[in-house]
Amino acid sequence: MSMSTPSHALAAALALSILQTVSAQENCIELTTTAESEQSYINEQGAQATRLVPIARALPGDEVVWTVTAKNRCSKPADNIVIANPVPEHMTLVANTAMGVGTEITYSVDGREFKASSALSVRDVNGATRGVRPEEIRHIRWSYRTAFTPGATAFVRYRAIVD
Amino acid sequence: MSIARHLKQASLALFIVSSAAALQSAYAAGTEAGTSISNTASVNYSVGGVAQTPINSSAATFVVDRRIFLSVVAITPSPTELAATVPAAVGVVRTFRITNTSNRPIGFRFTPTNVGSDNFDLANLAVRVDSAAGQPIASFTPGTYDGATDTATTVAMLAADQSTTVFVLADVPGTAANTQSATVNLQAISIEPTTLNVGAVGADIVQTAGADTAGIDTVFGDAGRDGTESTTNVYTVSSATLGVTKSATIISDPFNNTSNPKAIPGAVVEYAIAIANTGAVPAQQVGVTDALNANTAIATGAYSGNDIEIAVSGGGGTTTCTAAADADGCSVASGTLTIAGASRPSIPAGQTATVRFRVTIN
Repeated sequence: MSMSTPSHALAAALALSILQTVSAQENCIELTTTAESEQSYINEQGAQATRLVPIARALPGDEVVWTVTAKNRCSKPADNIVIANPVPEHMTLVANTAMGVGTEITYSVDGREFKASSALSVRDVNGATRGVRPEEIRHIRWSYRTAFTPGATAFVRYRAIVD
Repeated sequence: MSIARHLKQASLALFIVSSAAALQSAYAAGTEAGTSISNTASVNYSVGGVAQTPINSSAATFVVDRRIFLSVVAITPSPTELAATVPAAVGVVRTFRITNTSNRPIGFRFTPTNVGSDNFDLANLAVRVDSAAGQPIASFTPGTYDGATDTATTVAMLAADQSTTVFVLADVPGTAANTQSATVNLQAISIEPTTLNVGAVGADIVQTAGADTAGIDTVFGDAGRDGTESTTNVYTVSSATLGVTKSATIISDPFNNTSNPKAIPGAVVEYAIAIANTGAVPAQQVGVTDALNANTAIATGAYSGNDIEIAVSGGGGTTTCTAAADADGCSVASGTLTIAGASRPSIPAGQTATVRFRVTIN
């Protein structure tokens, strides 16, 4: 009886270690999203500059910079990486602000069909077809052309305005 | 196979948007204060050629603060309001529209003031709020003042993107003349909303000072960044302006009769008193008194058997009355002809009333 306690503890520790390994394999990519606003300030050289400051609050009409950062924390390369982000409710995408180095960016109105923004079209109430407006784009997708080597980090970014 | 074809058709189909605003909540006032905006990204990827379970980021969240936006617009005075703007009128109404374009319900209190550089000042300025509920901005129609129901002096709560009607009441001084004008300024001050019909007036809304706080901050987004707006409306007086001219015509004398009659004793002379209204509104209850020359006496029965005729131009009609002191309001007593105003028709703007009577030279 008195010997069973350490063996139980050992078994528990082993189980925990296995769990962590499995967990690490399942989450090779670490993904974080941040909301920031661009603020101007005077830098050390006395020049006007802008920087991104994390925000907790905003007003209607404020422009928010959304940044999604992906990091490969596995020991193997990760490929076919596609980051997807719906434009949050109560926000409108600012046209031509989505960026991501080494990515192909596509957009969607309905979250099902993704195309370049110029290729998207909608049909208005009169049945006429027209190009999509920035406020009608509700989803953005970034497809990386190359794999993430172990430890590699990259980010994608877009701007949206609080309705 | 049929499913695959169906999917292909769906992907070829164009997205159908019922209206331009269908996919976003486009309010003039903006997203309601206190709304939490959250964003979660996801990633799909493969390792060693094997697709992995997609991963979601933790949600990044921020909260929408309160932005105060309001407007005050003067409504062009209605014909009724214009017609009521006469000298000595009490509680003359001018109408204003108050709009809340904040992203939160707010209340309003009001300060009406006389603007200096005009012809006269109004007295007893007061504000009354239309008892009707607030209306959406796009479909707003101003209310009409009803003294019985429109008794509130502040707006307890007006929802975002709604307008309501506010009335300024003012007394016009008796000295104000036709076409003179007075300008009233209505300032609307945003106050913390209170539940309707409680009666308590909310405190003035203040802007959050200093850094972002944990609660919902308040920012003044209006033009002056002060949470108040104001505008002016004009009281232009419409008044009757009367001018009087008197003329005499010799009708007959005892020798020439009506052929070139002369002003000799026994001659009949007709006096015409023309009262012209060159103002903007009808002149009502116009009374006339005229001292007769001591050497004359009123002639009787010249006008349809009566002694005095009153004709109003512009289709105002002709009436007659007697010189006797009776219920018809006309009389000649102690050498003075009197037409009591209360009994006479009004003289419309631009028209002339002519009083005719005849005397005999003693």
